[in-house]
Amino acid sequence: MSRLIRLLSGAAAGAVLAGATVTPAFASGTGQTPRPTLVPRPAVTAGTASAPACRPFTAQRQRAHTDVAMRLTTLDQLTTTIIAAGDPYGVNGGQRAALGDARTGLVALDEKIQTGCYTDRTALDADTRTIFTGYRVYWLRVPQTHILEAADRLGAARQTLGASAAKLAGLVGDNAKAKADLAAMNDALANADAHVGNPPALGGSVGAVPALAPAVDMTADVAALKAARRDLEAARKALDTARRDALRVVADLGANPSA
Amino acid sequence: MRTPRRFDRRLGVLAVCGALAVGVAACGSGSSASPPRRPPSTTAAGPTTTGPAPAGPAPATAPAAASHEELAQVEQQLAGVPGLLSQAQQANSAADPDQARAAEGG
Repeated sequence: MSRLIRLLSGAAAGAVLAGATVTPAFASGTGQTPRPTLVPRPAVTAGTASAPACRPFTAQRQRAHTDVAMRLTTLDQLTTTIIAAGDPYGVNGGQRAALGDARTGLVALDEKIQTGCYTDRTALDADTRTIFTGYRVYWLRVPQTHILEAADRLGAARQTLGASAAKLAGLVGDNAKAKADLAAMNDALANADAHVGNPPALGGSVGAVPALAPAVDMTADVAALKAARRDLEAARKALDTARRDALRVVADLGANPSA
Repeated sequence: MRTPRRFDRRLGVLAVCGALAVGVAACGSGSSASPPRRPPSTTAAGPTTTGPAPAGPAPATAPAAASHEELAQVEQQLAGVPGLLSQAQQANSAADPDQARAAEGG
């Protein structure tokens, strides 16, 4: 009990003394002699008007604003890119939403950084770091979007080649050479499917890319991105092989292939 | 006397059989009066085939003209593929996470 009384009286005394430096009229009513040299102690006077002053950190805020502005521009470009890429695998809606969410979050974060009260650099550092670690616009969203764009292009090529293979299957008849070349074409298409998938099913390691999210430690994301890039290149080569096989079938059947 | 008469009869039978055999052979392989049979001509009746036609039912040569059109359509489809593959390669090049790491800064 005596301990509680000591605590209460100490806090009250501290509040009164601190208040005296800011509002002398209130302090004058206590009957105590104000100490002119008294320095406010924020830890004790929390909630009163004597909170530590906000500091400008002008250069750091400006730098943060520039970083955010660059990222907003990049996010807009990525959105344009993914819209123009077509969507044979049906995953671009999620990517557009992720890019839009990143934009909204960065705008809000910038506003907080520019207008917020930072009494020390630690809090500002934490917020500015979030521009990088919380969004990973360049380290994740750029490669992620371009990987999906590449997959879209390959998916469109796969659809075209698949339609060509189906048409050629009805034309080869008993032409043994044409049948063999068509079989090779279908093998190449199956090879491509193993690496990127046959639309609308996104496959291979590329299938994991849409779900990648920003992280402080990007090790896993980078590994997934690199695996997807390898699969995309393998699929591209397989589809090019399929295209050449298709042209051979056309030549076998007596047309005049252009390539 | 009996022996020559029997012999003459045998000769007669042989002659008839021989004549029949010659006739049958003539009917089967043709004679100077009828030219030898040839495989059906494919240049006159068949519209497009150039080589000798196999025996049996006529090959599916009728859709050949349409097939040529369809092959041209396939070629036209395939013409767009290299552009798509090139775009994919460019996009994949822009997806290098090592370069992206440098751009991220922070």
